[in-house]
Amino acid sequence: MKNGVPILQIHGLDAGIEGKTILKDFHMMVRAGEVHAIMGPNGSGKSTLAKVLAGDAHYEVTKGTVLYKGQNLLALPPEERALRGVFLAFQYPVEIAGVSNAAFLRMAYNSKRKHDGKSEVDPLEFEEFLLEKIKVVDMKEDFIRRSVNHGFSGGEKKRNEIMQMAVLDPLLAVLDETDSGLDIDALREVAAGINKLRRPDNAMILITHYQRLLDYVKPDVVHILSNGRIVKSGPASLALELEKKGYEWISH
Amino acid sequence: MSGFRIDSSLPQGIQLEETAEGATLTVPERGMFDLLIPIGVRAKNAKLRVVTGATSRVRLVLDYELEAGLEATFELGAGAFMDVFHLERQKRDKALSSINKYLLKKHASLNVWTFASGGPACIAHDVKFLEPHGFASVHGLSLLGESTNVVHRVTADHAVGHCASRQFYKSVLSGHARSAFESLVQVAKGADKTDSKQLNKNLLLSKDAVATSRPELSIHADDVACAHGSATGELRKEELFYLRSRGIAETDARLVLTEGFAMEALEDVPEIPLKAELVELLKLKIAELAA
Repeated sequence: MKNGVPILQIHGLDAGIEGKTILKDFHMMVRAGEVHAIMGPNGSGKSTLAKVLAGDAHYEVTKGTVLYKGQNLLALPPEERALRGVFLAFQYPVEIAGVSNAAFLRMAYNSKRKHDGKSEVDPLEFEEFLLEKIKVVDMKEDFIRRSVNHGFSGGEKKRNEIMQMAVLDPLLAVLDETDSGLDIDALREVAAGINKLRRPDNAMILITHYQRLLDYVKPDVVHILSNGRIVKSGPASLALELEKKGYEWISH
Repeated sequence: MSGFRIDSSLPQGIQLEETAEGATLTVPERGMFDLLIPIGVRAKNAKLRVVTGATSRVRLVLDYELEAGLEATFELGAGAFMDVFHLERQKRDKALSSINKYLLKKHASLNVWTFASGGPACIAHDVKFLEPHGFASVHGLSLLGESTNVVHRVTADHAVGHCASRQFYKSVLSGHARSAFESLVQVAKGADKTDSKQLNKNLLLSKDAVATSRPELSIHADDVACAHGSATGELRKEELFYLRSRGIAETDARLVLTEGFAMEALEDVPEIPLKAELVELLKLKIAELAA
């Protein structure tokens, strides 16, 4: 564990969807400079946590608090959370026909600049900036002119999430199964992208089902989630142990 | 006198005959490439006939003025290309009626776009393939608010085989606006290897807007590929959340998604100056409808 300032503090969180409680008395603390991995079987509450942090209205919080930089995150609408530096890389990125990646990202980037009291950038300036950023995920230039995720392969969608993260430069990034559906080459490139964005002043939560992403992105802490609670936390080696013993190991 | 305002500086070879009954435009064989002819339709019951020679290439922009009404026939020669734009963008008291027939000889290729943001109106496009290997794509975009009503009637008559037709219509409706897509693809007996697609998508921005959709098929041949579909709904919540999760305010997210939905209907418009005008028009109208 490092001694950065706390970025995220979750206390006694109960949350769920359609009346069903999924996260139960969930606790977590993430400091600047840390990468936390959350592992768990399907249905353990990994994605619920991601959606609750991003502010998806389908999910309800019934108990507990979430502090982001000491402030109540749950009171903020999704766009306000993003403007303050929270980013969710979606497990299933949404396809948006008719809106180009460049136009969409410029809008998002300018919203953030405006929020930070900076001047907005024009399309040409932004294109230059974007062409730098697509190098993070090693994509071709036409990537930025295509409609957002529309007709993208699974791997392209995940790279697009990481590119968006590079553009928006969040303080807290939550990556929801960014490794799922990737072949080994794509996984390596996406992981390289994540490592490039890792800094002492920001933090990441990697949500994953498998250990393999953690071969490339080394976490400071690994948490094992089961039935909506963290049942075990430990160093990076915990992921390897879990891989060996399987999820049955923690369910008893 | 004919009820039109046709660009008087027509290039050599193109004939324009105007009488009290209407106008006839004749484009000779191997006619001009990428020729754009703006036509203002000024009078009700204006009659237009356009005859194009083999392998000619022509673009027509029909701009409906306030008192407009049209009955038109477009005859495409063998291997001829034709793009026709119908722009209906003025709010009017009496409904516009525009009835268009397109007759295609072998290897002719037709693209029609209808842009409706005025109304009320009834705009009909009837395509008939006279000979094999023809292609016709008919697109429409309606952007309507208040209590405007626009009816699109679109038919494709596959009288012979080996022809392909496409119908792709979209509408964005707010207030009490209504749009109708009444479409029929007919495939005659023996018109094998017919390939047709009918698709209609409608986005409702208010609970009082109504879109009706009837993509119908009548098939009397055995070996054909005909697809039809229709979807009507509101903005998708997942798309809104995705944009908001990137810091885009909800009102802006709604606007950009609505624009994106409509923009797809203009995707196939060739890169001519008119396209930029249509995109501008689309943005202005969407801003008005989404407000």
